[in-house]
Amino acid sequence: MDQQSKKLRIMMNVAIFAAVTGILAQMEIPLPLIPISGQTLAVGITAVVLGSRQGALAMICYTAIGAVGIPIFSGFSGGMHILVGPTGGYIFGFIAAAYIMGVILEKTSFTIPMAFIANIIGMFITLLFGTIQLKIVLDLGWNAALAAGVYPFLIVGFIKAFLASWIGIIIRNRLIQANLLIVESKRKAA
Amino acid sequence: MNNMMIIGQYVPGNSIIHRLDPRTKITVIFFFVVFVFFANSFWSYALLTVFAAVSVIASRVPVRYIAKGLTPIWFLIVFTFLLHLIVTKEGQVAFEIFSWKIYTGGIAQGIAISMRFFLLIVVTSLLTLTTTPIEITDAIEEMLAPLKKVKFPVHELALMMSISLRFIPTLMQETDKISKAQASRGVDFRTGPLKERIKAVVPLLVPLFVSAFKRAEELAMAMEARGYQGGEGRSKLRELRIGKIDVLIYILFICVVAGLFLLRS
Repeated sequence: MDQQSKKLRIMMNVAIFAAVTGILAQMEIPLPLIPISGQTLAVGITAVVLGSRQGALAMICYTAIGAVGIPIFSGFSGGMHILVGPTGGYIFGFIAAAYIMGVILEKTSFTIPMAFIANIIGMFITLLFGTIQLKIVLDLGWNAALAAGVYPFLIVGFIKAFLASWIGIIIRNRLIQANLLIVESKRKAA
Repeated sequence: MNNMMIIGQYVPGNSIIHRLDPRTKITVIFFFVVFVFFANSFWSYALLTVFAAVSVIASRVPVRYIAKGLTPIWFLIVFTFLLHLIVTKEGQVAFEIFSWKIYTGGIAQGIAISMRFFLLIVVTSLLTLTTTPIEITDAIEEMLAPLKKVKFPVHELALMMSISLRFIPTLMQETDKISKAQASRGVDFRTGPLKERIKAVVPLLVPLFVSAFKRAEELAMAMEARGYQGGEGRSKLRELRIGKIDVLIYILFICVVAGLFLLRS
Protein backbone atom coordinates (compact mmCIF):
# COMPACT_ATOMS: atom_id res chain seq x y z
CA MET A 1 0.00 0.00 0.00
CA ASP A 2 1.54 3.33 -1.00
CA GLN A 3 1.88 6.33 1.27
CA GLN A 4 -1.08 8.36 -0.02
CA SER A 5 -3.51 5.50 0.16
CA LYS A 6 -2.35 4.57 3.65
CA LYS A 7 -2.81 8.16 4.77
CA LEU A 8 -6.29 8.24 3.26
CA ARG A 9 -7.26 5.08 5.11
CA ILE A 10 -5.98 6.47 8.39
CA MET A 11 -8.03 9.62 7.80
CA MET A 12 -11.17 7.60 7.15
CA ASN A 13 -10.64 5.56 10.31
CA VAL A 14 -10.16 8.68 12.39
CA ALA A 15 -13.25 10.32 10.90
CA ILE A 16 -15.38 7.24 11.48
CA PHE A 17 -14.21 6.94 15.08
CA ALA A 18 -15.05 10.57 15.72
CA ALA A 19 -18.55 9.86 14.39
CA VAL A 20 -18.94 6.70 16.48
CA THR A 21 -17.84 8.59 19.59
CA GLY A 22 -20.52 11.16 18.85
CA ILE A 23 -23.16 8.45 18.57
CA LEU A 24 -22.09 6.53 21.66
CA ALA A 25 -22.07 9.80 23.61
CA GLN A 26 -25.86 9.86 23.20
CA MET A 27 -26.34 6.31 24.50
CA GLU A 28 -26.66 5.23 28.06
CA ILE A 29 -26.25 1.77 29.47
CA PRO A 30 -28.82 1.64 32.26
CA LEU A 31 -27.17 0.33 35.41
CA PRO A 32 -28.67 0.43 38.87
CA LEU A 33 -28.09 3.86 40.49
CA ILE A 34 -25.70 5.37 37.96
CA PRO A 35 -26.08 4.90 34.21
CA ILE A 36 -22.90 4.59 32.16
CA SER A 37 -22.70 7.25 29.50
CA GLY A 38 -21.16 6.06 26.28
CA GLN A 39 -18.97 9.11 25.81
CA THR A 40 -15.98 8.15 27.95
CA LEU A 41 -16.50 4.52 27.00
CA ALA A 42 -16.06 5.50 23.36
CA VAL A 43 -12.91 7.45 24.22
CA GLY A 44 -11.42 4.38 25.88
CA ILE A 45 -12.33 2.11 22.99
CA THR A 46 -10.96 4.61 20.46
CA ALA A 47 -7.61 4.79 22.22
CA VAL A 48 -7.35 1.02 22.60
CA VAL A 49 -8.23 0.34 18.97
CA LEU A 50 -6.46 3.19 17.19
CA GLY A 51 -3.46 3.87 19.42
CA SER A 52 -1.93 7.19 20.39
CA ARG A 53 -1.72 9.39 17.28
CA GLN A 54 -4.84 8.25 15.48
CA GLY A 55 -6.76 8.10 18.74
CA ALA A 56 -5.85 11.65 19.70
CA LEU A 57 -6.65 12.82 16.16
CA ALA A 58 -10.07 11.18 16.39
CA MET A 59 -10.70 13.05 19.63
CA ILE A 60 -9.51 16.37 18.15
CA CYS A 61 -11.87 15.73 15.26
CA TYR A 62 -14.72 14.92 17.66
CA THR A 63 -14.06 18.09 19.67
CA ALA A 64 -13.87 20.20 16.52
CA ILE A 65 -17.16 18.83 15.17
CA GLY A 66 -18.80 19.57 18.48
CA ALA A 67 -17.27 23.05 18.50
CA VAL A 68 -18.82 23.94 15.16
CA GLY A 69 -22.25 23.28 16.63
CA ILE A 70 -23.15 19.70 15.79
CA PRO A 71 -24.80 18.24 18.89
CA ILE A 72 -22.45 15.29 19.38
CA PHE A 73 -21.39 15.92 22.96
CA SER A 74 -23.33 13.97 25.57
CA GLY A 75 -27.00 14.82 25.91
CA PHE A 76 -27.20 16.16 22.34
CA SER A 77 -25.23 19.27 23.18
CA GLY A 78 -22.75 21.01 20.95
CA GLY A 79 -21.21 24.36 20.19
CA MET A 80 -18.30 26.40 21.37
CA HIS A 81 -20.18 27.35 24.53
CA ILE A 82 -19.98 23.77 25.80
CA LEU A 83 -16.21 23.79 25.40
CA VAL A 84 -15.72 27.02 27.33
CA GLY A 85 -18.41 26.08 29.85
CA PRO A 86 -17.84 24.27 33.13
CA THR A 87 -17.89 20.77 31.64
CA GLY A 88 -15.68 21.58 28.62
CA GLY A 89 -12.51 20.49 30.37
CA TYR A 90 -13.57 16.84 30.23
CA ILE A 91 -13.77 17.06 26.45
CA PHE A 92 -10.27 18.55 26.16
CA GLY A 93 -9.18 15.86 28.58
CA PHE A 94 -10.32 13.18 26.10
CA ILE A 95 -7.65 14.28 23.63
CA ALA A 96 -4.85 14.03 26.17
CA ALA A 97 -6.28 10.83 27.64
CA ALA A 98 -6.56 9.11 24.26
CA TYR A 99 -3.00 10.05 23.38
CA ILE A 100 -1.49 8.89 26.65
CA MET A 101 -3.52 5.66 26.72
CA GLY A 102 -2.31 4.94 23.20
CA VAL A 103 1.31 5.61 24.13
CA ILE A 104 1.08 3.29 27.16
CA LEU A 105 -0.33 0.48 25.04
CA GLU A 106 2.18 0.99 22.25
CA LYS A 107 5.09 0.92 24.70
CA THR A 108 3.82 -2.28 26.34
CA SER A 109 1.32 -4.51 24.58
CA PHE A 110 -2.27 -4.44 23.41
CA THR A 111 -3.72 -6.84 25.99
CA ILE A 112 -6.77 -6.56 28.22
CA PRO A 113 -4.86 -6.07 31.52
CA MET A 114 -2.62 -3.38 30.04
CA ALA A 115 -5.61 -1.73 28.38
CA PHE A 116 -7.36 -1.71 31.75
CA ILE A 117 -4.42 0.03 33.43
CA ALA A 118 -4.17 2.50 30.56
CA ASN A 119 -7.89 3.22 30.82
CA ILE A 120 -7.67 3.91 34.54
CA ILE A 121 -4.83 6.35 33.90
CA GLY A 122 -6.82 7.85 31.05
CA MET A 123 -9.80 8.30 33.34
CA PHE A 124 -7.71 10.28 35.83
CA ILE A 125 -6.31 12.46 33.06
CA THR A 126 -9.82 13.24 31.85
CA LEU A 127 -10.98 13.99 35.38
CA LEU A 128 -7.94 16.19 36.00
CA PHE A 129 -8.62 18.36 32.94
CA GLY A 130 -12.35 18.41 33.69
CA THR A 131 -11.97 19.39 37.31
CA ILE A 132 -9.46 22.16 36.62
CA GLN A 133 -11.80 23.79 34.10
CA LEU A 134 -14.78 23.27 36.39
CA LYS A 135 -12.86 24.96 39.17
CA ILE A 136 -11.78 27.90 37.02
CA VAL A 137 -15.09 28.57 35.27
CA LEU A 138 -17.23 28.25 38.39
CA ASP A 139 -14.56 29.73 40.64
CA LEU A 140 -14.90 26.89 43.15
CA GLY A 141 -12.53 25.76 45.90
CA TRP A 142 -10.67 22.46 45.43
CA ASN A 143 -12.96 20.54 47.76
CA ALA A 144 -16.11 21.67 46.02
CA ALA A 145 -14.58 21.06 42.59
CA LEU A 146 -13.56 17.52 43.56
CA ALA A 147 -16.99 16.80 45.03
CA ALA A 148 -18.72 17.99 41.87
CA GLY A 149 -16.21 16.80 39.30
CA VAL A 150 -14.42 13.66 40.47
CA TYR A 151 -16.06 11.61 43.22
CA PRO A 152 -19.35 10.92 41.41
CA PHE A 153 -17.50 9.39 38.48
CA LEU A 154 -15.03 7.10 40.20
CA ILE A 155 -16.94 3.83 40.66
CA VAL A 156 -18.61 3.98 37.29
CA GLY A 157 -15.22 4.93 35.87
CA PHE A 158 -13.75 1.60 36.91
CA ILE A 159 -16.58 -0.37 35.30
CA LYS A 160 -16.17 1.73 32.19
CA ALA A 161 -12.42 1.22 32.09
CA PHE A 162 -12.97 -2.53 32.24
CA LEU A 163 -15.59 -2.44 29.49
CA ALA A 164 -13.52 -0.19 27.25
CA SER A 165 -10.41 -2.35 27.53
CA TRP A 166 -12.32 -5.60 27.05
CA ILE A 167 -14.37 -4.44 24.06
CA GLY A 168 -11.48 -2.41 22.65
CA ILE A 169 -9.13 -5.38 22.53
CA ILE A 170 -11.81 -7.63 21.01
CA ILE A 171 -12.49 -5.08 18.29
CA ARG A 172 -8.82 -4.45 17.66
CA ASN A 173 -8.11 -8.14 17.18
CA ARG A 174 -11.09 -8.59 14.86
CA LEU A 175 -10.03 -5.65 12.75
CA ILE A 176 -6.45 -6.85 12.48
CA GLN A 177 -7.77 -10.27 11.45
CA ALA A 178 -9.96 -8.68 8.80
CA ASN A 179 -7.01 -6.56 7.65
CA LEU A 180 -8.96 -3.36 8.17
CA LEU A 181 -6.75 -1.66 10.71
CA ILE A 182 -3.57 0.16 9.79
CA VAL A 183 -1.17 -0.43 12.63
CA GLU A 184 1.53 2.19 12.80
CA SER A 185 4.49 0.01 13.57
CA LYS A 186 7.49 2.29 13.55
CA ARG A 187 9.82 -0.24 15.05
CA LYS A 188 9.04 -2.92 12.50
CA ALA A 189 9.63 -0.50 9.65
CA ALA A 190 12.95 0.65 11.03
CA MET B 1 -33.07 13.53 15.67
CA ASN B 2 -31.07 12.70 12.54
CA ASN B 3 -31.91 16.04 11.07
CA MET B 4 -30.70 17.90 14.11
CA MET B 5 -27.40 16.06 13.94
CA ILE B 6 -26.70 17.47 10.49
CA ILE B 7 -27.66 21.11 10.66
CA GLY B 8 -26.63 21.54 14.25
CA GLN B 9 -28.25 24.52 15.90
CA TYR B 10 -28.13 26.87 12.93
CA VAL B 11 -31.05 29.29 12.71
CA PRO B 12 -31.31 30.57 9.13
CA GLY B 13 -31.43 34.34 8.74
CA ASN B 14 -29.99 37.34 6.98
CA SER B 15 -29.01 39.62 9.87
CA ILE B 16 -25.71 41.49 10.18
CA ILE B 17 -24.38 38.74 12.41
CA HIS B 18 -25.37 36.07 9.89
CA ARG B 19 -23.59 37.93 7.10
CA LEU B 20 -20.34 38.44 8.99
CA ASP B 21 -17.37 36.41 7.84
CA PRO B 22 -17.22 33.34 10.09
CA ARG B 23 -13.56 34.12 10.81
CA THR B 24 -14.57 37.49 12.27
CA LYS B 25 -17.14 35.84 14.47
CA ILE B 26 -14.73 33.21 15.72
CA THR B 27 -11.99 35.79 16.45
CA VAL B 28 -14.29 38.19 18.29
CA ILE B 29 -15.87 35.40 20.31
CA PHE B 30 -12.50 33.92 21.19
CA PHE B 31 -11.26 37.22 22.61
CA PHE B 32 -14.60 37.88 24.29
CA VAL B 33 -14.23 34.60 26.16
CA VAL B 34 -10.74 35.63 27.27
CA PHE B 35 -11.73 39.13 28.34
CA VAL B 36 -14.85 38.11 30.26
CA PHE B 37 -12.46 36.85 32.93
CA PHE B 38 -10.98 40.35 33.28
CA ALA B 39 -14.26 42.01 34.26
CA ASN B 40 -14.30 42.73 37.98
CA SER B 41 -16.49 45.75 38.62
CA PHE B 42 -20.16 46.53 38.18
CA TRP B 43 -19.58 48.79 35.19
CA SER B 44 -17.22 46.39 33.42
CA TYR B 45 -19.87 43.66 33.66
CA ALA B 46 -22.49 46.16 32.51
CA LEU B 47 -20.43 46.98 29.41
CA LEU B 48 -20.01 43.33 28.46
CA THR B 49 -23.70 42.66 29.09
CA VAL B 50 -24.65 45.52 26.77
CA PHE B 51 -22.28 44.13 24.12
CA ALA B 52 -23.83 40.66 24.44
CA ALA B 53 -27.38 42.05 24.39
CA VAL B 54 -26.72 44.18 21.30
CA SER B 55 -25.20 41.16 19.53
CA VAL B 56 -28.23 39.02 20.35
CA ILE B 57 -30.64 41.70 19.15
CA ALA B 58 -28.61 42.30 15.98
CA SER B 59 -28.61 38.57 15.20
CA ARG B 60 -32.45 38.47 15.30
CA VAL B 61 -32.23 34.94 16.66
CA PRO B 62 -35.35 34.26 18.75
CA VAL B 63 -34.49 34.35 22.44
CA ARG B 64 -35.96 30.89 22.98
CA TYR B 65 -33.15 29.35 20.91
CA ILE B 66 -30.58 31.00 23.15
CA ALA B 67 -32.51 29.90 26.22
CA LYS B 68 -32.45 26.35 24.85
CA GLY B 69 -28.66 26.47 24.82
CA LEU B 70 -28.74 27.45 28.47
CA THR B 71 -31.07 24.71 29.71
CA PRO B 72 -28.45 22.03 30.37
CA ILE B 73 -26.49 24.40 32.61
CA TRP B 74 -29.11 26.34 34.54
CA PHE B 75 -28.53 23.97 37.36
CA LEU B 76 -24.81 24.75 37.47
CA ILE B 77 -25.43 28.50 37.41
CA VAL B 78 -27.80 28.27 40.35
CA PHE B 79 -25.50 25.86 42.18
CA THR B 80 -22.51 28.21 41.83
CA PHE B 81 -24.55 31.19 42.89
CA LEU B 82 -25.72 29.45 46.06
CA LEU B 83 -22.24 28.12 46.79
CA HIS B 84 -20.66 31.55 46.63
CA LEU B 85 -23.53 32.93 48.67
CA ILE B 86 -22.85 30.45 51.46
CA VAL B 87 -19.07 30.20 51.38
CA THR B 88 -17.92 33.81 50.86
CA LYS B 89 -17.68 35.69 54.16
CA GLU B 90 -16.78 39.21 53.15
CA GLY B 91 -18.48 42.57 53.61
CA GLN B 92 -21.38 43.08 55.98
CA VAL B 93 -24.05 40.68 57.09
CA ALA B 94 -26.95 41.22 54.74
CA PHE B 95 -29.49 38.95 56.44
CA GLU B 96 -29.79 35.68 58.32
CA ILE B 97 -31.62 32.50 57.37
CA PHE B 98 -31.93 29.92 60.15
CA SER B 99 -29.03 31.57 61.95
CA TRP B 100 -26.86 31.25 58.83
CA LYS B 101 -25.34 34.62 57.99
CA ILE B 102 -25.43 35.75 54.37
CA TYR B 103 -22.82 38.41 53.60
CA THR B 104 -23.07 41.18 51.01
CA GLY B 105 -19.70 40.10 49.61
CA GLY B 106 -21.17 36.66 48.99
CA ILE B 107 -24.14 38.03 47.11
CA ALA B 108 -21.90 40.22 44.96
CA GLN B 109 -19.50 37.34 44.26
CA GLY B 110 -22.36 34.95 43.42
CA ILE B 111 -23.94 37.41 41.00
CA ALA B 112 -20.60 38.23 39.36
CA ILE B 113 -19.66 34.59 38.71
CA SER B 114 -23.11 33.60 37.44
CA MET B 115 -23.08 36.66 35.18
CA ARG B 116 -19.67 35.81 33.77
CA PHE B 117 -20.85 32.32 33.06
CA PHE B 118 -24.10 33.50 31.50
CA LEU B 119 -22.27 35.94 29.18
CA LEU B 120 -19.84 33.23 28.15
CA ILE B 121 -22.61 30.87 27.11
CA VAL B 122 -24.82 33.43 25.38
CA VAL B 123 -22.08 34.93 23.22
CA THR B 124 -20.48 31.64 22.22
CA SER B 125 -23.82 30.06 21.37
CA LEU B 126 -24.45 32.97 18.96
CA LEU B 127 -21.68 31.60 16.73
CA THR B 128 -23.37 28.26 16.18
CA LEU B 129 -26.81 29.83 15.96
CA THR B 130 -25.84 32.17 13.12
CA THR B 131 -23.25 30.14 11.20
CA THR B 132 -23.63 26.82 9.41
CA PRO B 133 -21.26 24.01 10.44
CA ILE B 134 -19.75 23.99 6.94
CA GLU B 135 -18.95 27.70 7.16
CA ILE B 136 -17.31 27.23 10.54
CA THR B 137 -15.30 24.27 9.26
CA ASP B 138 -14.07 26.36 6.29
CA ALA B 139 -13.19 29.22 8.62
CA ILE B 140 -11.28 26.94 10.96
CA GLU B 141 -9.35 25.50 8.04
CA GLU B 142 -8.42 29.01 6.85
CA MET B 143 -7.52 30.26 10.31
CA LEU B 144 -5.38 27.26 11.17
CA ALA B 145 -3.61 27.34 7.81
CA PRO B 146 -0.39 28.80 9.31
CA LEU B 147 -0.13 25.61 11.38
CA LYS B 148 0.61 23.70 8.18
CA LYS B 149 4.15 25.03 8.56
CA VAL B 150 4.61 22.97 11.71
CA LYS B 151 3.12 19.90 9.97
CA PHE B 152 -0.27 20.08 11.69
CA PRO B 153 -2.72 18.42 9.27
CA VAL B 154 -5.16 21.34 8.86
CA HIS B 155 -6.70 20.38 5.55
CA GLU B 156 -6.93 16.77 6.63
CA LEU B 157 -8.69 17.73 9.85
CA ALA B 158 -11.28 19.75 7.93
CA LEU B 159 -11.85 16.86 5.54
CA MET B 160 -12.17 14.37 8.39
CA MET B 161 -14.72 16.63 10.04
CA SER B 162 -16.82 16.74 6.87
CA ILE B 163 -16.62 12.97 6.46
CA SER B 164 -17.56 12.41 10.08
CA LEU B 165 -20.54 14.70 9.65
CA ARG B 166 -21.67 12.79 6.62
CA PHE B 167 -21.39 9.47 8.43
CA ILE B 168 -23.14 10.34 11.65
CA PRO B 169 -26.68 9.75 10.30
CA THR B 170 -25.64 6.54 8.51
CA LEU B 171 -23.97 5.12 11.59
CA MET B 172 -26.95 6.07 13.72
CA GLN B 173 -29.23 4.03 11.50
CA GLU B 174 -26.73 1.22 11.67
CA THR B 175 -26.69 1.35 15.47
CA ASP B 176 -30.46 1.18 15.51
CA LYS B 177 -30.45 -1.79 13.14
CA ILE B 178 -27.84 -3.70 15.16
CA SER B 179 -29.59 -3.17 18.47
CA LYS B 180 -32.88 -4.39 16.98
CA ALA B 181 -31.17 -7.38 15.39
CA GLN B 182 -29.54 -8.33 18.69
CA ALA B 183 -32.75 -7.76 20.63
CA SER B 184 -34.53 -10.19 18.31
CA ARG B 185 -31.84 -12.74 19.20
CA GLY B 186 -32.60 -12.23 22.87
CA VAL B 187 -29.86 -9.83 23.90
CA ASP B 188 -31.15 -7.70 26.74
CA PHE B 189 -29.10 -5.08 28.51
CA ARG B 190 -31.94 -3.34 30.30
CA THR B 191 -32.74 -5.99 32.87
CA GLY B 192 -30.95 -8.75 34.75
CA PRO B 193 -27.87 -8.81 36.97
CA LEU B 194 -25.04 -6.33 36.45
CA LYS B 195 -22.64 -8.86 34.99
CA GLU B 196 -25.14 -10.00 32.37
CA ARG B 197 -25.92 -6.45 31.35
CA ILE B 198 -22.29 -5.61 30.85
CA LYS B 199 -21.83 -8.77 28.82
CA ALA B 200 -24.78 -7.79 26.64
CA VAL B 201 -23.04 -4.62 25.52
CA VAL B 202 -20.38 -6.54 23.60
CA PRO B 203 -22.61 -7.94 20.80
CA LEU B 204 -23.90 -4.41 20.38
CA LEU B 205 -20.64 -2.51 20.08
CA VAL B 206 -18.40 -4.97 18.25
CA PRO B 207 -20.54 -5.16 15.09
CA LEU B 208 -21.00 -1.39 15.16
CA PHE B 209 -17.26 -0.76 15.09
CA VAL B 210 -16.54 -3.47 12.54
CA SER B 211 -19.19 -2.22 10.13
CA ALA B 212 -18.00 1.37 10.63
CA PHE B 213 -14.52 0.26 9.63
CA LYS B 214 -15.82 -1.48 6.53
CA ARG B 215 -17.49 1.75 5.49
CA ALA B 216 -14.28 3.67 6.06
CA GLU B 217 -12.43 1.23 3.82
CA GLU B 218 -15.05 1.56 1.09
CA LEU B 219 -14.97 5.34 1.23
CA ALA B 220 -11.18 5.46 1.05
CA MET B 221 -11.30 3.25 -2.03
CA ALA B 222 -13.97 5.40 -3.64
CA MET B 223 -11.96 8.56 -3.04
CA GLU B 224 -8.83 7.01 -4.48
CA ALA B 225 -10.74 5.85 -7.54
CA ARG B 226 -11.87 9.44 -8.10
CA GLY B 227 -8.31 10.71 -7.85
CA TYR B 228 -8.24 12.41 -4.47
CA GLN B 229 -4.69 13.69 -4.05
CA GLY B 230 -4.72 15.56 -0.73
CA GLY B 231 -5.02 19.26 0.06
CA GLU B 232 -2.59 20.74 -2.50
CA GLY B 233 -4.34 22.73 -5.20
CA ARG B 234 -7.86 21.71 -4.19
CA SER B 235 -10.39 24.45 -5.00
CA LYS B 236 -13.44 25.51 -2.98
CA LEU B 237 -17.09 26.02 -3.85
CA ARG B 238 -17.46 28.98 -1.47
CA GLU B 239 -14.70 31.49 -0.85
CA LEU B 240 -14.58 33.46 2.40
CA ARG B 241 -14.23 37.24 2.19
CA ILE B 242 -13.61 39.93 4.81
CA GLY B 243 -15.93 42.87 4.05
CA LYS B 244 -16.58 46.35 5.41
CA ILE B 245 -18.89 45.17 8.18
CA ASP B 246 -16.18 42.85 9.43
CA VAL B 247 -13.70 45.70 9.77
CA LEU B 248 -16.37 47.76 11.53
CA ILE B 249 -17.07 44.95 13.99
CA TYR B 250 -13.36 44.58 14.75
CA ILE B 251 -13.08 48.30 15.53
CA LEU B 252 -16.21 48.20 17.68
CA PHE B 253 -14.91 45.21 19.60
CA ILE B 254 -11.53 46.85 20.24
CA CYS B 255 -13.41 49.85 21.67
CA VAL B 256 -15.40 47.54 23.95
CA VAL B 257 -12.19 45.89 25.19
CA ALA B 258 -10.56 49.29 25.78
CA GLY B 259 -13.68 50.36 27.69
CA LEU B 260 -13.53 47.19 29.75
CA PHE B 261 -10.00 47.94 30.92
CA LEU B 262 -10.96 51.52 31.77
CA LEU B 263 -13.93 50.38 33.83
CA ARG B 264 -12.07 47.71 35.80
CA SER B 265 -11.62 48.48 39.45
